Amino acid sequence: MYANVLRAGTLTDDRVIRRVSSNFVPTHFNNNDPTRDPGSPSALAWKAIISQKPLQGQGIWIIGPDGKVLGGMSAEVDGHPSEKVGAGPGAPWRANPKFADACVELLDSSLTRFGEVKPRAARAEPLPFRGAGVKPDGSVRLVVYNAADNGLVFSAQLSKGDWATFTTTQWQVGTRWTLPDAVARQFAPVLSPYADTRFRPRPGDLKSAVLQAEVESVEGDLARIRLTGRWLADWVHDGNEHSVGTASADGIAVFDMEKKSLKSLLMVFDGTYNYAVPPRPQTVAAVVRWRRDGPAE
Amino acid sequence: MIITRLLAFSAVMTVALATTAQTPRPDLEQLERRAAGLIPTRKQLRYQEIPWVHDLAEAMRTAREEDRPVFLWGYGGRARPDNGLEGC
Repeated sequence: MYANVLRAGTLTDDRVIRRVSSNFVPTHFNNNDPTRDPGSPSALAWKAIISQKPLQGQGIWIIGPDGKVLGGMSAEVDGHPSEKVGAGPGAPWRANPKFADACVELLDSSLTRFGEVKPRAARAEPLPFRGAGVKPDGSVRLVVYNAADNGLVFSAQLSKGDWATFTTTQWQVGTRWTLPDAVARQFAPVLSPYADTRFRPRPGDLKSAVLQAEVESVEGDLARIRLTGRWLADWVHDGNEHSVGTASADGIAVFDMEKKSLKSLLMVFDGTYNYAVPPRPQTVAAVVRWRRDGPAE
Repeated sequence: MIITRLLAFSAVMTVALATTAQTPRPDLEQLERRAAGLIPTRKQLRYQEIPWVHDLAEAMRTAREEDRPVFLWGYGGRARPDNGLEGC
């Protein structure tokens, strides 16, 4: 949850954004990614950094271009602690404004130590292909939005084969089909209203997933496909933690008959999420969308 | 314990069934309007305004080329391939 406290507090603070964007090369690193090659250049760079200043592996580091750590801070070690609201896992957290103050202090003192730098003009780019376009391998990255937990935006990935199941070769109005179970399961993370990914179900955590499609209309070169779905997650995670999530979705995908490709997809999810016993139901409302043309988001 | 879990399960299923009850299907414009109200505010997503380099080794290379320090946000602990910009 600490990552969310930083993301929703310190990293949305105007003073931090301005300083980081114009003076530093900003990057981020997941120190516990099981898919990362431990011998990769990034993993080796990380090892060198934490050997100088461990900070329990979570926090902010300022590193010189020579690899020397100039400063760092963590909520748990020598920064200011974040504050928790409520009790138990899944309870919302709020960022401590003092932590942003401490970060500004760290940025300024590190820069003073390093010396003057030319203002940087790099522009923020969205994550590649998120919410738009088809990757060279034919897969797509749908964007998911949820206004809960300080605002969530993440991805639902579909392979080329998954994506193909959203279309048909029979374009008569009323043609219906059920998408493969494995494709419906890719929407599992949408069931969670939390930024903390231990509360985000993965495809295998679902008890059931059903996603159906129907050609609703054909006008000119465009066919509208109605999408309806139902999902149920009921799983034990992270030791003995238990979550139950359920959702239904209504959506429309537009198929371009001339270009023989999907043009857009929009789905709205509604459901509830319960962490543990006794039930603590929370409403879930999320948007999943994608467009063929236009910039990523 | 089992009864409590069953009660919890039936509670969420009741809500789910109520949600999926026979209601008129929203058209695309209605879905778009509903979606617009569910998207986080720009203020909430301001961390995306930072020009992140998504690879630590690449950021170190850029820092050497530009002779400036790296700002590194480190996170983890879930043993998942999370991208901190999307949740962790």
